[in-house]
Amino acid sequence: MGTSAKELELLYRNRFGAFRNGLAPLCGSFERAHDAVQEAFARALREQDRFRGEGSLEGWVWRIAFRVAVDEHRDGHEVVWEEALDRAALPRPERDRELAAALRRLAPRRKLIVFLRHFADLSYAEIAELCEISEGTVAATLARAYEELAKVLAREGVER
Amino acid sequence: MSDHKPLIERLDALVDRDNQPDWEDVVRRAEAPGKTARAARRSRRSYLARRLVPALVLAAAALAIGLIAPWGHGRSFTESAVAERALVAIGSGPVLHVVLRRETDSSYIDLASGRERPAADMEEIWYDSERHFEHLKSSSELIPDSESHEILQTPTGTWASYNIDPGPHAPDIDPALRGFFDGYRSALENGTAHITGSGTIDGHNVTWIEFAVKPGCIHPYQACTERVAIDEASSLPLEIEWLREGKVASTIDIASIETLPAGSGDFSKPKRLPSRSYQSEHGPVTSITPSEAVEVLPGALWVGKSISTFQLSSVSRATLTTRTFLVTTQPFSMHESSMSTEIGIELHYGNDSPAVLWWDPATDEFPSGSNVVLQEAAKPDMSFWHDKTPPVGIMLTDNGGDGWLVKNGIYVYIHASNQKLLLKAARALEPIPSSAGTG
Repeated sequence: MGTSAKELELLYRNRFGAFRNGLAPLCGSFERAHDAVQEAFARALREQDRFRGEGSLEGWVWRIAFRVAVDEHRDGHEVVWEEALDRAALPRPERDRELAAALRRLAPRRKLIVFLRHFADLSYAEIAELCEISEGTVAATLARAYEELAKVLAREGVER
Repeated sequence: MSDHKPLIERLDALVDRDNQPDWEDVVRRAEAPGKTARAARRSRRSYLARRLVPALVLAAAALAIGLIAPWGHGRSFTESAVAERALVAIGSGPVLHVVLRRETDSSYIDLASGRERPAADMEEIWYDSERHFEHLKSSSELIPDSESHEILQTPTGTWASYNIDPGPHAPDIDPALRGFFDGYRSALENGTAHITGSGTIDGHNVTWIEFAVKPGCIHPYQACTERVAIDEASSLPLEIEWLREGKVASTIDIASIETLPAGSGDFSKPKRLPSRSYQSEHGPVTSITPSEAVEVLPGALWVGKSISTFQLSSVSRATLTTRTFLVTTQPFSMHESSMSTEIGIELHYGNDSPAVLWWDPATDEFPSGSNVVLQEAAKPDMSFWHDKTPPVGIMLTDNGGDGWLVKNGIYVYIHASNQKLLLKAARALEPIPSSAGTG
């Protein structure tokens, strides 16, 4: 099956911002996320023949990008996906400290889906494909995450 | 209009707009892979992983199969018997009804024994493989008073009890479960499910079987294999492990499972429910003595004048106010439904700074060092309390250093530097004596 460099370039140009924003919480900064996106697309370009067309091209590149982002944190140590997500946080917490603190507390799966929806700008269907869960589970998980965030913000958004 | 519109707007406002794509750089990297030190390290590790791990796994698997596999030259009697019983237990209907249990990051600790039990989210699913209907109801042990979240997906539309993006969404059951539904029975029937071991899950003796979800699957990211733990007593599956590249990618605990006849199952449309929103605030924080703490909150608790190496450094009080709002959509409205006011106290052990934990978004400062902090009130005020009130003698914990419990009618939140100290503090709670002093 494979894909072409032209298709990858088109995807890159159209979705660069979504990839950069989506990876930033995993990488710790937008600058490192930028590097991870570059590396991910470079790998996709090298391995374009391995794309089998069983899902979308974007989903395939996202999976590569996640691996690159998680690899960036390894530094010789084994880092599993759940741990990487557990550490994921807003790269610039000063923009909204309350929300950054609330997001840090979300369970890894909820956190990932919030990041994919709002930072990577992925649709429910795209998140479902990427996480290999159903759209219904995406919707339910997002609703649960919003509820949890709202309650944490209510609990901590207090005034002296 | 969304139930959580302000929250979603805040999330979306955090997206970075300063994007500068550079395709030429991607092409350069593709042509010269591994030119950085980090990339080189990764490359070496990947090479070793590619070379060594499969070799070791193959060697171990060959050894194990050679030594113990009874099906090496055909299907064993034991395997056939397990498969037959499992097929009868699961039934043959086209509608799957299953209740799944997914553990959360929170857990309950029995203070007397120290025994821990994870809290869970529950999902009840009806899936009609012929009509392509899926009805999912999810609830949380941690939020018992909230309505369950429901979503019904069909080829012609989607209905949910909460706000979702405009549909329709194609019904698409969790792939691990779909793989199980599609592959389990056929694997049992055609003899491609193999016993891989035995064990115990929650006190049940189980037999593990493994089967290919997609025979011949070679996609590097797909789950091609599932392992299922079958209860030896009921022959029903208790747990599904989804394997990707030889590793467990996800696990599903099955609380109950059955198949139903065609046309049956609960595929009723969920009712749209209002959601609740909360607003909490506290008044000025005032320093008080331990004796005054008992006066403002009769029955107030402490852990003595010190715990571990931490001395009681401050006691304070504040008025806590929580307003509850009912939010409806289409059209959007938000109405205050209740308001509660409580006196809360805080006891701080340790000399770290700042001395009080009541959070101030203006400074975003939390106590910076090792400490134990207690916050208490006579009612579960939202400003410090968890959604769930655990039974007496049980502490709810987030598996970090935060715990919530009720003792002598007082609702107590404990923040400690680590979980060991948290448990120690929870066990040491006792009423503040009248001789505790005034200064």
